Amino acid sequence: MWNWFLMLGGMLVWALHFGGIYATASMFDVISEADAHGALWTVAALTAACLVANAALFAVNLRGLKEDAVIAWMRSVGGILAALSFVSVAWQGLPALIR
Amino acid sequence: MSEPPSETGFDPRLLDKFPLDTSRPEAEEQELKRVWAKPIGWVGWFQVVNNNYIGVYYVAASFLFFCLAGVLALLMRTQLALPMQGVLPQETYNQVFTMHGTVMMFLFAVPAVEALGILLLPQMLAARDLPFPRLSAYAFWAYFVGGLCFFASIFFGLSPSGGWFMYPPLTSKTFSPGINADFWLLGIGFIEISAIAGAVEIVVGVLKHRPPGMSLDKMPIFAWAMLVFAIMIVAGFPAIILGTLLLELERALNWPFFDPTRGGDPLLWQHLFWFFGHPDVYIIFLPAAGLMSMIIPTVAKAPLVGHRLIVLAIIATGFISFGVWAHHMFATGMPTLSINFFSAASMAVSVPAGLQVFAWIATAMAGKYQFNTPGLFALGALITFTMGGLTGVMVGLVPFDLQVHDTYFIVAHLHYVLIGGMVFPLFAAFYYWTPMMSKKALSERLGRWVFGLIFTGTHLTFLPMHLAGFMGMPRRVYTYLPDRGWEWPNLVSTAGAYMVAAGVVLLLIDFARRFRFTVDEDAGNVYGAGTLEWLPTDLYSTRSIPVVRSRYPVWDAPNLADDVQQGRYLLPNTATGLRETIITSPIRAEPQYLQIMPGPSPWHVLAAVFTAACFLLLTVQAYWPGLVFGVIAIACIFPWVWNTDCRPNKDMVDVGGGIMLPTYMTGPRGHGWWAMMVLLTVAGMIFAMALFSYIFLWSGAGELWIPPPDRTWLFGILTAFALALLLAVVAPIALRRLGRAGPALSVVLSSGSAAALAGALGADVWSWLGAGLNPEASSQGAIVFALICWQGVLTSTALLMAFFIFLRAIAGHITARTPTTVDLLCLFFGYAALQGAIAVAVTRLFPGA
Repeated sequence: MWNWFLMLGGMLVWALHFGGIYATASMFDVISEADAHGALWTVAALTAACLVANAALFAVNLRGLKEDAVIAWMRSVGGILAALSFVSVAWQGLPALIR
Repeated sequence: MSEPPSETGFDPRLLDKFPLDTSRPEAEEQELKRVWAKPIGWVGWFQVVNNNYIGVYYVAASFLFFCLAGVLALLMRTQLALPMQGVLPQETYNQVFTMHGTVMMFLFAVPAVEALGILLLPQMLAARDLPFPRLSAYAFWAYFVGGLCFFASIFFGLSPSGGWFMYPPLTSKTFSPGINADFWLLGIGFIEISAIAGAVEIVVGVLKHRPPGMSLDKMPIFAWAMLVFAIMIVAGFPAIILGTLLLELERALNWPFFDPTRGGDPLLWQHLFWFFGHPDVYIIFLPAAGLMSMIIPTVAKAPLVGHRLIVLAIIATGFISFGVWAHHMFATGMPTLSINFFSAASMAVSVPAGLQVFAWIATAMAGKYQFNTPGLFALGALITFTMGGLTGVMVGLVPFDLQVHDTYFIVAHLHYVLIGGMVFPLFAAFYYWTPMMSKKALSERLGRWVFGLIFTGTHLTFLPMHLAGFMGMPRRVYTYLPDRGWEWPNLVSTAGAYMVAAGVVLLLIDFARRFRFTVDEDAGNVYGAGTLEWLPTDLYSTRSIPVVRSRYPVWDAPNLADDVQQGRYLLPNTATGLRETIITSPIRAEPQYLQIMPGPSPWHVLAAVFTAACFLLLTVQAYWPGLVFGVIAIACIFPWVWNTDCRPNKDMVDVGGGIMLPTYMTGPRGHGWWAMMVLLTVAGMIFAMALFSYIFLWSGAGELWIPPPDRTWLFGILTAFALALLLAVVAPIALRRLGRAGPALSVVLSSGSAAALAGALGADVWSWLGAGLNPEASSQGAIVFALICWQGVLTSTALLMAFFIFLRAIAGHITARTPTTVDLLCLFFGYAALQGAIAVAVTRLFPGA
């Protein structure tokens, strides 16, 4: 499971971030309004946490490149996915952060 | 010397000795032919389960539905060729465009790619077949019988007319009072079952049926694409299953999920529909992109450039496509911030798609691209899909989308994406893989005409639609007034549509002239491909199962075909005298055990026919006959699966080269465990969508909701669910540990678990009714009782399963040496208990008193 988690981790972080920011906007829309200060701060915090998670995943995957061919291949896919997820999470958080 | 890395403890050095240099007895091959033979006589055509047959049936049926939906498209184009035409009356036109979209999406596109998976994957993975051949056959027959009946509704004026996305309130009982909408809602039901059955098959097949040595990094791109495709079905289809269930409950029982006057919300339908609907586009596109990634290297005579990046792109697309559903809802008044999130995701999803396009172009440039018919269709796909993708980025921009929403621009965009992204690759696949299953390849000369007509016709049809959309022509209108400037784009579109039809007719003529189905005298590898499906095969797939050492084994090992055919690799015979294949580990494809596979049977066919009949009878409101047919369908499943959990007379067998494998496996290594986990994921996704609906409806009209029943009920019901879970955990342990008393005790414990589930469900219903909750009165009543209904489905299934365990125990099939049935069914009981407990806790604690 660990190998699968490291390979897909970047995308799981992306999914978590997307679900989180959508839920935040929807929840604040019910309570007050979607782009209330609380919502924007929550999105910012979630985005920052997910960026850190992606950076960590990238680093762990990078270390695994020294393993045998199969695992190194999985780590390389996982590393690039974590990097892609890093950019995607930053991009996805921008609508709330650029005001 | 250090030990080589291993996933399962298997020593991979054992595979180094293959191919062996010993010769095999000739009688072995005859024995393989006997074991894997199709039943004789006309009945055999129905009972057969081999993927060679079912795959071809499936592809042919999906292509039939493509042609039928294409005829509907021609009717629409004829009506719209000139203003104020009277070819189709308005209501008929509405039915025709609804059926065109529905049939193309549900009866052609998804089944066609699933069919290609069933047809190609076993050969591509050198497996004898996919893990559950009767399930594949069931999926096909349910789809084919049900699909034909569903399509026939148009001849009686009973087809749905609310568009392929069936938005309420237009499709509510008030505005669609007949049974037309029910045909859609229940007709889609068996297609969903069929798609999920196929997805279970493909997930387990790709992860567990690969040949030894085919680790994840050597897996063909098509297998990667089909794996992600199947997982996306598992994640995406539950939303539409729940949506159709809720809308049908509203129509049949007046439960107001989508009726705002009683706290419902029509937007809930849109969320549920598009959470399935948009990923569905990628569910269709990814396998087709997988086909492209197989065809282009062969046509270009060069390995695929960026194999790793394409795998990455497929995975990324699978994830990100679930974050774009609401871009179909930009015009609904969602909060601006939410819209912006979806707009950003819509831009992001184009990145992995673009990666694949660039990799294909690079592969074509790296080799010497041949402009044969598969090559032409692949090129056509590249051009057309890229154009559709670019307009997709345009409509991902909210201000642009608001301008072109519901205009012909969208019709043009979606057809560019779907035809470029799926139809052209499919046609390329027809030409490319026909020699694998036909005595003759299709005609190259005719193929160029087919391509020319279809490619030109497609662009003639849909390019002018962009302009018609810009000029303000709305979608779904059955006619239009003259002097709006819409005449010439519509006339050109109609001419283009007939040109496409001419191309398809030419393809059918080519099929009629050249396609001659065979399993052992095929035309062979005429395009010079490098992957395993081009090894010589018979009904049992390859004679022996090769050890894979590269991504293009046929290119890299020139003697591979001969060695495989001479039985110099694994399993060159039938080791147990039964149908069997090697199960390997998911990452490194190390041999784990021998799976005994079921053969031909009438029961899955009967189950499929009665499943389809059950849904269709419910559609015409014949509830009792529908229920009876449903019970018969379930009864057919018992004999179908009766012999699937038996030990052969040998516990360990030699599969070649002295490699000994067990013939029985249970627990997480077993294929049945994986299938059950996939099935439970489907159930879990339906439940998650139902919880989303619960919160969504509360957020819209929470003031209408009543307090839950007294807390003591909650405690009692949770105790019953805990008991069900405990018994489900203990039953398999008792079977293994209690010797001769084990089977009887496991029956008692598993029956007790099912009974506890039923008791909890009964108490839940009773307490809510006592608290005054009425499913017709408010959205709270509707959604709480919908959750209870879903729990009821699981509980009824658990009771049937407990009865099945009881019957098998009487027959002496439940023993400590054959615990798989109890293991898997108790997993289901445990899941049902957990789901029930969560549902009860949420509905009573949130929003609370």
